[in-house]
Amino acid sequence: MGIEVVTFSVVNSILYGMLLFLLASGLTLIFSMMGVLNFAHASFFMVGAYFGFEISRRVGFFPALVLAPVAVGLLGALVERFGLRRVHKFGHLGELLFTFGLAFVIEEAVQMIWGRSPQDFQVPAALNFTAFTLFGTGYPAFRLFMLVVAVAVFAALALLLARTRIGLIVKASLTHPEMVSMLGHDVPLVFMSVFGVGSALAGLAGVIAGPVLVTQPSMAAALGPILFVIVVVGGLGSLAGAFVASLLIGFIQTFAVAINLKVADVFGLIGVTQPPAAFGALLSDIWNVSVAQVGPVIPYLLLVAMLMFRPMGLFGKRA
Amino acid sequence: MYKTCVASVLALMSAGVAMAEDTFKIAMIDPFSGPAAVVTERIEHVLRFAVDDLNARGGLNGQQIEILTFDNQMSPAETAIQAQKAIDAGATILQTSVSSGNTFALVEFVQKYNRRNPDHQVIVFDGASHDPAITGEKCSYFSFSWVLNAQMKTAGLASYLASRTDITKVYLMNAEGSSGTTTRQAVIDMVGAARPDIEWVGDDVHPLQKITDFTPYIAKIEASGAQAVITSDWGADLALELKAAGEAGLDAEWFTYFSTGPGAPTAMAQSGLNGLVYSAFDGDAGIQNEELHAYEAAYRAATGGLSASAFPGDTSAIRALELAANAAGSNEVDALIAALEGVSFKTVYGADAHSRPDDHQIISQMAISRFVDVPDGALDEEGTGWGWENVAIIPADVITLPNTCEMERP
Repeated sequence: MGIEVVTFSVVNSILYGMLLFLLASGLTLIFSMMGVLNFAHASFFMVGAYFGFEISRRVGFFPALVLAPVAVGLLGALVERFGLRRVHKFGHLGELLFTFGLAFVIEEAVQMIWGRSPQDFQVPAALNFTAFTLFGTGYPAFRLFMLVVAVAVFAALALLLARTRIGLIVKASLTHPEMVSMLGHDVPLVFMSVFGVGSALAGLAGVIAGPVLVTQPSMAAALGPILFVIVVVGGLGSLAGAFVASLLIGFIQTFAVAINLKVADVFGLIGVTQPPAAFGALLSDIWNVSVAQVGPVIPYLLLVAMLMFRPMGLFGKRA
Repeated sequence: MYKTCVASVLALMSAGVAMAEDTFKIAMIDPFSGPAAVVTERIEHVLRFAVDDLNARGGLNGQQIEILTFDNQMSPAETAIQAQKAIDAGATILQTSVSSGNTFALVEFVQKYNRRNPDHQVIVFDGASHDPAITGEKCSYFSFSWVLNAQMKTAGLASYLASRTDITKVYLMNAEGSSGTTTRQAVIDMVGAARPDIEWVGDDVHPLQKITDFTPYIAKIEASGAQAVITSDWGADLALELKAAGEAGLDAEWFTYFSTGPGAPTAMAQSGLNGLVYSAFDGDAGIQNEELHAYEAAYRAATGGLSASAFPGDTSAIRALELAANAAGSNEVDALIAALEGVSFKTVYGADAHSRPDDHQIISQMAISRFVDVPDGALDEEGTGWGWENVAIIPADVITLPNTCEMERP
């Protein structure tokens, strides 16, 4: 592997990993505060992209960057207030099933409003230029903008939780809701706000990812599963864990493509150049599988292995 | 008096039922839900537009055509179940378009059904699935394909690339799965034969519709020094890779099979790859033909800006059906099949076409066009202001491949 390929891959890994973190941060926030694994999180991401598209074509991209996440956050708060709160009584399984169903409802609603075809959500003109050129390949300013936003979100969330009174109350509400309530805080309001902020972060990721990816109803289903991998690998409820896991997944998926290695090459190293005939057609198919082809599965393999050997994840405190 | 009243009411009601029964029914058996529904939606528009036009002119030998829709949920097993439902509902023609797996399942089901019900046979129309096996090893007397298959399109692409001697370094980019791997092999064989000097500088087989970030692939293409990429990718894969190529400023040319499909024009216009993305397809709105442009204008006015030329199979099917029914003077299945074999008609692109009697494959010209920022007022795609500019028409005889079908005729 040449130095160019390595450099490209490192840059691409970081850029992709940061997009994943933007999404996973909201999910992990909701989980760490409320203990709810939100299956509809990627749906809020999709709604964010659609809101961003609608607002940006009326008043521009930068207002949309603020307004769309606020709108998605309000939607999330309403879902918590009138849906999740009622289901909460019946335990975590009820909540899980509730968000699972909600994901389908949101997808269908989006299809009814905007149709099934992709929307023409474009990169804003102010960010539509090449930021820097590396070995002849241009890197768009918009991707760098994405990186900056992701890092800012990470810093802001980490500070909010660790250094402020709000963070203190929020964390206390999860472990000792009765006590916090006795002290005069409105615990249900805290939960609603956390869910709203978590949804708003997904919405923010949607506004930023919409122009880069394809703004269409299936975008939620495409990114949803990988988020769970990030949250589990990073450690359920750990913000720093989600950050590291996002980068890790970014690196894995990018380098899997860059490495030109096939099963045949591995056997070639030990002197076996032909698939053993005894295994027949089955093995000759596997023989030509490249690392790039199995790339998308590696994160899930990691998920399975992590749950088996280190259930609390990389940075998690509890199993 | 009361009895006669009741009797006449009953008679009227049964007459009403008889009138509803009296339509010629075409059943669309396609994914009306799930991610592929966006394609079905577009196909349904094209089919209904062609059928409405025919009905307004008196229908099929005086019989109105009715379209029934059945959701096969993109599953071959469900396709067979829905086919039975469609037949129960009185359908004479069963059409499926979106996936070749479903088409195989439908043809197989109809073969069995027709053998068991010789007095009530049905016909299969393949509207867009483009797998060569449908008119090859899995061909059927009861099935007709109305789009050029992938082998024919690759032959056309090879013929075009023979004239592009400036391109010598080509990168292959295909998804796993039958469509991607067979097209990849056909490109290596046919383009390789037409242009032995071409060097394959890259050959990626990537996972199907699972990748969200194509930038690593674009970096590989850039590093390989490729002048052109040939890809059979479609849907989200094609949209994401073209957008990533645009972002990275990759100046390679893209030769694609499915860039006329829903969403691709939007992504291509966003990518800013002006004149760099080519389509090797049955045709497009960029072909200079007055009939095509008039049809497109009428279609766009009726559907709110969608284009009919992206799905030629359904227009061809209805035109061929009309001519065949006229020639046969009957809407009976036996007579229709006999008349459909060899029927000559004009495609939506205004080009001559016929259905080859040996394998029921449509034979017509194809087009190589590139996607450009078109002047105001010209036909654009998906409201982007970008549209197709035709660079070559490949005549039918160049892409006509030998028949491989061993048809069992009753």
